[in-house]
Amino acid sequence: MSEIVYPHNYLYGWTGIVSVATFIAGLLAILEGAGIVTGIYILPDIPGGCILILLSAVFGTAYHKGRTDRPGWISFSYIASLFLLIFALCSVLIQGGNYLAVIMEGEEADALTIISSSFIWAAIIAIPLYVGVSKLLYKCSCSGDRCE
Amino acid sequence: MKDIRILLSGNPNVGKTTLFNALCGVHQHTGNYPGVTVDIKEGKRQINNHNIIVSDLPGTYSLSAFSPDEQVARDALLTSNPDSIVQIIDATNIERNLFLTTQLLEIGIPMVIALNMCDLADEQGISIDIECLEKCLKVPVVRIVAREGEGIDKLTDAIISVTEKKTACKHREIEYPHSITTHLSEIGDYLSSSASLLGNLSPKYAAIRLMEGDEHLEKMLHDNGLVIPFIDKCDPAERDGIAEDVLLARYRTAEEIMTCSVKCTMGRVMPADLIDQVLTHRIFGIPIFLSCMWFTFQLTFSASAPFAVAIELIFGYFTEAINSIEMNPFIRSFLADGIIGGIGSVLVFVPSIFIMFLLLSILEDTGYLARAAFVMDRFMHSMGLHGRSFIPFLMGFGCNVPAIMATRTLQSRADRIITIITIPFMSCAARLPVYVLFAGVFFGAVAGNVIFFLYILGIVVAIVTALAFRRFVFKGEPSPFIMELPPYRKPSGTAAGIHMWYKGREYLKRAGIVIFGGVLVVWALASLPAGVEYGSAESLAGSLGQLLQPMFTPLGFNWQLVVALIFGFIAKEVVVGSLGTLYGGEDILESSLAADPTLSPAIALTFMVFVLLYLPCVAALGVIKQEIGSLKWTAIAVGYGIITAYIVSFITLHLASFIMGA
Repeated sequence: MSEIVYPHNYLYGWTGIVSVATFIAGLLAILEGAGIVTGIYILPDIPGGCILILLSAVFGTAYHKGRTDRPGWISFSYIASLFLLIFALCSVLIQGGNYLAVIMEGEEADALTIISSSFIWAAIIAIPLYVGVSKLLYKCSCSGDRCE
Repeated sequence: MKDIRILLSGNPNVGKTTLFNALCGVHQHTGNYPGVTVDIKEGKRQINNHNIIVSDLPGTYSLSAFSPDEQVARDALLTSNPDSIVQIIDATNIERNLFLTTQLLEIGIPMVIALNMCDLADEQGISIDIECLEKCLKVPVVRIVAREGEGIDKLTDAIISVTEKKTACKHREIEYPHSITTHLSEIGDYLSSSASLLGNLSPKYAAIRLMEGDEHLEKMLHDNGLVIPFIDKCDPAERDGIAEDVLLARYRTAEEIMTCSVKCTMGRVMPADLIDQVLTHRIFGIPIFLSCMWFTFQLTFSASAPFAVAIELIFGYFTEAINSIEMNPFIRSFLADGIIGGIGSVLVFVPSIFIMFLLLSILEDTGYLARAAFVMDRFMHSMGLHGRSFIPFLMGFGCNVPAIMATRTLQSRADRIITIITIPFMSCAARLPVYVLFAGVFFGAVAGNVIFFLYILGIVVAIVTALAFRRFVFKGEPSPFIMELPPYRKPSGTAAGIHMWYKGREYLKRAGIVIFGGVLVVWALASLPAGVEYGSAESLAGSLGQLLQPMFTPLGFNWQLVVALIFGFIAKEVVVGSLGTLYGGEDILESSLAADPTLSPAIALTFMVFVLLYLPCVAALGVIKQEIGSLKWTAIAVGYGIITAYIVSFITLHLASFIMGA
């Protein structure tokens, strides 16, 4: 099976970087949640960390598929980055809601907790990938096998 | 004013209800998955001296009905004698829709075709020659986008026009092979002499239906002593062959029409195909779905928190204002503890319910929930449930009543009964306030996780129940699952907002009638006999609770929780309202629960589990009886729910006490 050479090699390579970054973000959230690592500015969140590791596996699959299956790479990295962005937005809303509720109850809260979720940091890294692969997805679907 | 009765027919998930809403200016629930409509809904629209009465039928792929909802559609089309039929066709998938068209054309009733989702077809490079389609079918075809209300006026004009010119009934005829047409004439001629038995069916069309193998019609004719020429002489293999020939003739016609009128200018790979590779992946499909649900419940709890606090503050202000006014203590208690305490403790959860419905609507609108049903099918099948049961289960998260009705899409009675018995374990929106209250008070930062756990527990109990019933009662495999995956769509903010509002409004209505009534009864029981301390153990509520409390001692419930459970049978929303009243008001409910020495996180979790699993509400029970049609099975559903709730709650208490104690 011959390997495909992409005109967007940097984007393909970025998938690998996003996969590793998402895994690290998930791991840190779990370690913080379990109380093993403390002091880093990441929200302790064991279920959230597991979801990040799941998304990291989807990015990893995209990277792996990309060696021989270009549409496969596009679809897996598109979905993983889309869900990561949506989940990051949800995290902001969740933390924002909690923050507002605490303030309204007359207690003190740290506004920076709103952006402390590890989803946000992973999502920032995934934005270029999302932009790139969503364009490729459209071309891929509209022009048959011309996914470039 | 002339009445025009029209039937909206079409395949599942082509936008019938969306068109119905656009035509009649109503807001019936629509969904981006098949099987949302399971019975006939009626609406009206007045145009140019015409009173158009619209009936929205359940979706069906053909007039050979298999499931109860398809039978409803078939019976309406064949027996109700409407002025015209409007078939809604999905413009992105014309060929499949045309099979039903070939059957509808033969009924002989004036017909209009509404070509829906034309915007999506344009996006996908599908070019449809409307004129050619009209010529091929000899039926007016109107291009519409029902979601945007585009083309609705032209459609109503076409409906009025075909209804007034009855000549429009000369539709395209299906070209059957010669071997069939000879027998069709023979049977048709014979049936002409018994036309009165056929009701609205023409003898020719009745002959076609008999050739297709319509057992219902054949039985009716036999019951009336008729010997049907040719049909009665055929052996089963020959009958199958004829039915197949009729089927092939229809497919050939559909293909011919498609070839003449539709051109696809783009590649065959659609974005949906690429996206489905991941979302329906055998490994990633289920975890991705669970992740979505986890975020849904986290958002439900957290994003609603500021609104809930605001409502609490407002009701706290009202309570203070009433307490500061000089008045009879009994009236003050009635206003502060009964009305404000009861209603306030229910209304405080309205934001959570609105947000949950909004999020579920968005998920549904994108087409993702249908994919979720698909990925869950293998899992559900292995647990003895039908893949299609997943849709009623999802609806059950909103309200069990429509979810139980949605089981009509299941063809097998065994699959239906199993699904109906398990649906009450799906945590409906009315139970959410109980979770939000207890999880918030006793589990603080991990409240969202606890709520997620409860929803998952409900699903697990449903699966175990299905497995047990499949293994011991309804032995055998569930019937195979075939579901058309709907297109992906950008969720519409307006549609999601409307859906959220209508669902949320139902909750508010119940809060206004059932819950208010229930809460007042609880307040009266908590205040009487005269002279006792409000909500004390000496009150009637206290006596009732204490009388039944020994039954719940193994679960650790105090008498207040027992009273709330009893009233929760009327409607689950009453549980929190009752507690608000018994604990002396909404504004102090959370602090009172937290300070109650008879409660602990383990007992709180046990109580939530019991609320999740015990009796469905009165309304759901009524629908179970109606849908199963058996008192025995309704009693089994009730008994099974109570026993399961007790056992699972008992295990939860001991496990939770062990873990939390440790």
